[in-house]
Amino acid sequence: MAGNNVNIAPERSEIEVSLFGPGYGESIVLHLGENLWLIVDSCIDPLTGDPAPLTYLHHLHIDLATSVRWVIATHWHDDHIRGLGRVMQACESAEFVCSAALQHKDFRTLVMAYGHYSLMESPPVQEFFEILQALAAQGQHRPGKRPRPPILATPSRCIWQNTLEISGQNHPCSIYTLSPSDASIVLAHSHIASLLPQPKATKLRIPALTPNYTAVVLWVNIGETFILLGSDLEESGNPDTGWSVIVGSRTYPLGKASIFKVPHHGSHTGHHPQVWQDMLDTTPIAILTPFALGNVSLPTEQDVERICQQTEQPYATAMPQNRRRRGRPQVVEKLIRDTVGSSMREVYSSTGQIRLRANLAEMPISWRVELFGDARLLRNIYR
Amino acid sequence: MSALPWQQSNLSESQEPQQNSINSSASPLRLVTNAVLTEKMPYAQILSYLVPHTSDSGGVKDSDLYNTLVENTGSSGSSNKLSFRSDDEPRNIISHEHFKTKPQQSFFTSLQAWEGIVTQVMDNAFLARLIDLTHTGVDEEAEFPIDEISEEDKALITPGAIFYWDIGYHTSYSGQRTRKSLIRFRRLPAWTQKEIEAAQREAERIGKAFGWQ
Repeated sequence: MAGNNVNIAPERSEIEVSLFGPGYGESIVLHLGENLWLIVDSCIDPLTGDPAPLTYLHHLHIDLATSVRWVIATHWHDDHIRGLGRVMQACESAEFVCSAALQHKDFRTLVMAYGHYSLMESPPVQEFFEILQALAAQGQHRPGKRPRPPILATPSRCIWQNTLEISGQNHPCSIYTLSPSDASIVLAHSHIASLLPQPKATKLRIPALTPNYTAVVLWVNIGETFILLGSDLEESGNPDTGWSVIVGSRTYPLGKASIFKVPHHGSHTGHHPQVWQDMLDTTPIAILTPFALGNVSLPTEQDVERICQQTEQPYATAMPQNRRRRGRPQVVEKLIRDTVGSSMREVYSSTGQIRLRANLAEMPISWRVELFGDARLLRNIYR
Repeated sequence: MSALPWQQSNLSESQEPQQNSINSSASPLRLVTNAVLTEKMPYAQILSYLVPHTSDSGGVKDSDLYNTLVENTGSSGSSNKLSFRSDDEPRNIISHEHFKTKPQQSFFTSLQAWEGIVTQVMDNAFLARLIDLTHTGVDEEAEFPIDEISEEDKALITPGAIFYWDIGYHTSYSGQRTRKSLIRFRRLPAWTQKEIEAAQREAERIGKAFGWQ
């Protein structure tokens, strides 16, 4: 538990799932075994200003250029994508995976317009702009100097399949994307088209796509172990979008996940009861990052209660309401109060890491939970 | 010798010299006007000395006039016809201060500054994410009453709009110092057809590179 040395790399036979957040969002680092690493999304380490997954892997002495095989952008919300451009640049041999909704020409136009001509920083598109640059740089070393195109996530798409020999035993492994659904892709296209700049319209920072139609859910299996990473996928009740499509489909390897990254910061909008019934163990380890914006704090106390009813092992990386007010000279403080009252807060003040490790050489496998920073049991985040 | 500013005649007829319109005995401008009238200085040029901010008439800047006048009223053996000063008279007939001194301007000393991005607009307030421009650190957010925003900026309050918030001291013309909180919205140019078409071309090029088209 807390206090363990965070900088010890896993054994080659160990699976690791590390969740970082909410230092500007969330990110997951996954070790499949045999020094095969996967990075899902990115957030900024508040101490170093660098992408949290890069800082962490650097401390573990992992060779980013050769060991990270996939970098996945589950969606392009600000809290999931900060620093992803730098991640792609550092992980030179990694393949980039993103939602199929982002293949559309309109999205690329959006990225180029806001990346080049907007006269301001719009973090989500800026990151994609940098990712495209990184892919182009990678392409310089490929035949015909053609950049490797992103792998486009669609329902039940296998993006990798192999057998890993670990401790003398063969473990079939695969990574599947379970979303976005076809209908979600169409909806996302029309939304992206609505964001395209129009002549004579004032330049503004680009808003986020909400609700989240395009989030990429991942289903990873290593031997008999399954991991479900829920991204920010929301459930609207529409049978053609969100979690409804996933729970209604069985076109990916069947199994019950022992690890579940709870979608959308534990919000009820990401909850689908059938996910807990059909896709997860009876007592999975559920992990999440909190989220705070204005008066919205996720998960709410009701969300915490609901998740705690589903599993005995829910964890959060931080406390959503622990948002400091930064100290400043008295004259400044007084004018801040005169202008915005007491509403001024840091976007986040609490950050942490949940690390889960299990050794495939030990059967049956058991997960070891390590908590760093402000990470804690979910039921304690409001205490 | 090149023509002096006031020798360059670019005046309209209505601005022709009107020597009689100025009373040469009027004090304290007597010395100046005497000299000027002696040399048939254009009336507009005379005014440029006497009335602040009219010095552009004749296409001459304050500083040029000043330099020329000081040079011509100096003690060196200038052959300039404006050497009307006798040794008994004060050296600087046209005082340095008259040209050098500018009105005291008010100014602002910033103690703390942020760049803000409007994230949500409510009825009477808006929520914004704030990036500290004075010190590094985690972003902040705050809710601003719309009444805090100037009338001309209110129309700019929309999600994605960028503004600057400065806190500091305002020092007035008279030197009076007051604490101020200033919010100014950034006015960005509009998207142009050219920019959009360039982005479309780039998007197409990337698509081709990836083999998507």
